[in-house]
Parts: sequence; C-alpha cells; structure tokens
Amino acid sequence: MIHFLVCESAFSLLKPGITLIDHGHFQYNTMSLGLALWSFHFMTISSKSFFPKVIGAFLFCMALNFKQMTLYYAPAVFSFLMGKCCVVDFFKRFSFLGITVIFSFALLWWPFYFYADAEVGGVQSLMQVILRLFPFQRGLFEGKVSIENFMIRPRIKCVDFFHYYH
Amino acid sequence: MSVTKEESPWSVSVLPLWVPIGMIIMRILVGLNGHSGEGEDHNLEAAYGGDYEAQRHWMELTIHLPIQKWYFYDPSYWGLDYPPLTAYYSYVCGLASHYWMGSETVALFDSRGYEEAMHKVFMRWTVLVVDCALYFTSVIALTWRLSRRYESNNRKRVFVCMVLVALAQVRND
Repeated sequence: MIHFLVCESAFSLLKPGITLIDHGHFQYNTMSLGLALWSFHFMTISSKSFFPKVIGAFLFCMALNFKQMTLYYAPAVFSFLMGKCCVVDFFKRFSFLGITVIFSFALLWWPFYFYADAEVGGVQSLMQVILRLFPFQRGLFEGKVSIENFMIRPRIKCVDFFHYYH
Repeated sequence: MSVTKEESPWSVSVLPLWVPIGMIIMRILVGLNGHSGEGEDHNLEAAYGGDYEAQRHWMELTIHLPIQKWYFYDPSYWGLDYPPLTAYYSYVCGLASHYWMGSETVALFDSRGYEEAMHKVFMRWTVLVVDCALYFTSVIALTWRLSRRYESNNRKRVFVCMVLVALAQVRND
C-alpha cells in the first residue's frame, strides 16, 4: 500500500509537462488542475449522500473559472454527474447541481455585471469577458499565439519526409 | 523491506514524506532557470516575452484599474483573456507584489518588461504556493484513497514508468 502511495504520487507529481510549463515557462495550470482533481476526489467519494457531488461540482466550476481549458474535462464530468442523478431522485439532484453551478458562476461573475460602465452596460460587459475568453471574432491566427507554427511546421515536416524517401 | 519500530528516515512508512519534498526541490530547480521570453528585446508598444510577462501584466492591470475595465484594457498587449478567478488571483498577487516587492514591480504601463531577479523569485513563489496547496494535496488525497484500494503488485511497472518520466524530464531540461 505504501509502495503504491509513494510510486503513484511521485509519478503524478513528477509529470514533466506540468513542472516545465508552470515552473519553467510560467503558468498557473496546477491551480485549475488541483481544483479539478479535488472536485474529482469529492465526486467519487462513495457515500449515500449527494452532498459530496455538489461540493465537487462547485470545485469544478472554480477550476473552470480559473482556466477555460478545463472545459476538456467538462463532458466527462457532466456525464458522470448526470449518471449519478439518474440513479434516484433525478429532478431533486439535477436542480441541486444546477443551483450550485449557477451560484458558483454568479459568485465570480457578478461584479462584471453590476459595476459595468453606464455607456457599456452590464450585458455588454459580460459579453466582453466571454469574447476575451473565446476569441472567435479576432480569428484563430492571432499574431502572438503561434498557431501558425503548430499548423504549418508538421506539414513542412511531412513534405520533407516525402521528399527524402521518394 | 519491513517497517522498523524506530522509524529511520529511509524506512518505508516515512517514504511518502520524501516524495513531496523531492518534488518541491525539483520545481525550485526548474524555476531557477529562465522563463519563456526572458530578456527579449522589446519596446513598450509591442507585446513581448511570454506568459511570465502576461501574468505580471495582469497583476499590474487588475490592481490599478476598476473591475469593469479589466477585460477592456489594451487587448493588444497581453490583454486579460482568462476567466475571472484568474483575474482575482492576479489581483491578490498584484497587491502582494505592490506592498512587498515595491510599487515599481507592478506600476501601470511603466512596469512593462519588468524582470528583476527578486521579483522573479516572488513570481515563482506564487506558482509554487498554489502548486503545493492545491495540486500536491489533491494528488496525495487521491493516491491515498487508491492505495487503500489496490495492493502494490504492479509496483515494478509503475517504477519503470517513473524512471521513464524522470528521463524525459532530464532530456527536456
């Protein structure tokens, strides 16, 4: 048991991607990842009560509100919680989760609505936040993010490969 | 290997304590190296550097602007584009930086490209604290639960994985 604990925790904490991106390159991924892992911890606690799942949902919303990349886990989390809702008392459990999600988002987003400039308006101010998070209007090929490199370089490599072997 | 009564620091039951300590040391060593975009040529108008400058810039703008301006301020120079909790955390770190590290570290506009060594240490600490407080604890909590469920018969396999990961780490550095 202790070997498993040592090996598995070391294995998770050694993950070079996390270490290098957060402590080398400089980002705060461990915050959203840690919140997401805590939420998985609470969601998977085996208990008769639905309360741990609600805490898990709250923590997952926090993770989602730290980094929108956590949306990758969202389909799995949503399906898992829906499954737990379907076991018994669907509407009660589902409304509990819904209230939790709305409450946690409101907790973090309300200042952007209520303190919005008069000429901008609350709804427009919230829209600005959403547009900054999901920048569809400014295009995928923004200068400072090197998506071009990710998309073009593999193609050049493939071309090189075929030139070399044919 | 058996658990001894007198608990030497290398005995099996104390071993889990060494994992976080070792991982923290490894993170500090990685943090001693440069961050992306460090020391690049820049002028004040063009976005320069990498996420280090972005995070420092968010601290700067969140403590100096009212909340309704956060997502509107100069999107071309590392405009805030993460969800609100990031902004609030930047605000807290920005206040800490303002009062502990000096107001010049997060002065609005004038601090663009600020890269003093002591401030870099502060920025590294803000990551390490979050890492230890949330990621380490969550990993330990989950592995603690899993370790009660499974016996360690796949220990050898996990160990091989660990060594591979460690090798990958060295190569990347």
